[in-house]
Amino acid sequence: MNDDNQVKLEFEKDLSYLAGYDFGLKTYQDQIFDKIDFSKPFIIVFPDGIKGVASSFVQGLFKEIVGQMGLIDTENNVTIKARNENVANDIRQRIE
Amino acid sequence: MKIIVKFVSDVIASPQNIIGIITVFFNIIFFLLNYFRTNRMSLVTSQERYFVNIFDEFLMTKIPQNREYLRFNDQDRLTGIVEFCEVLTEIGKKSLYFKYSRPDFYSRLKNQLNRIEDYVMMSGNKTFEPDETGQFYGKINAYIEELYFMIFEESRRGIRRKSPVYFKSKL
Repeated sequence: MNDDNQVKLEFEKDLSYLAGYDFGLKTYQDQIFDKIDFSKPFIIVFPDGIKGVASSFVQGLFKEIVGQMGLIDTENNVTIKARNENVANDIRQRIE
Repeated sequence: MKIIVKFVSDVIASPQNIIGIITVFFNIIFFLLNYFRTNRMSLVTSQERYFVNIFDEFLMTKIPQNREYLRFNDQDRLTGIVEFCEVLTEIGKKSLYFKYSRPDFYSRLKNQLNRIEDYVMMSGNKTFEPDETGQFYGKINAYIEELYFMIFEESRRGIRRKSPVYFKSKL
């Protein structure tokens, strides 16, 4: 786990939009699980090349996190960083 | 008891009394039928009101307008994706009422919204061949038609007799 308690996600270079529940789950397992201390506020950084994120991907990505922490604590503790505030807001709105 | 028997026999002795009793009986039956029918119709009408309030603006304006933004640019890449998908997310949030009033419909609605969103987003990751753009438009239009049909069908379905909302209103 890193000192900043944040993780910067990595995807293929030509990927601009993220979609698919299974893809979200896999991303969590490969890039987030075991790298974040969920007992503290944490940051997830999406690459600048990502322009949009589907609800299915967000639900897969956050399935384990929400399952452990609950929806309210997840929303309170997570900071989403993305290429602009609109993308970050879209991701936050899709957490459920 | 004898008084009652005498009263009844006096009443039914006269044909006019019998006609009167039958008339009153049928009036009561018709009143009750009308009462329950009106009650059921007002419940159906109030449910239809929710459909109109929640979906009207999306079906009439937002979906068609944002569908028009889905176009291919000079590099044969799809544009207008984020704007269109935001509308789908908005529909999902505004339909939360149905999560508890019609959970089966809500589940089907969310699945359809996710299906459309996934298709549009994944299409945004590829460069289309010229002959593929027509296929994309055909498919997205078909998905949207399915969504409209789903909502129209459900709005006309009315109240099912086994609906828990219907029964709870009777308690």
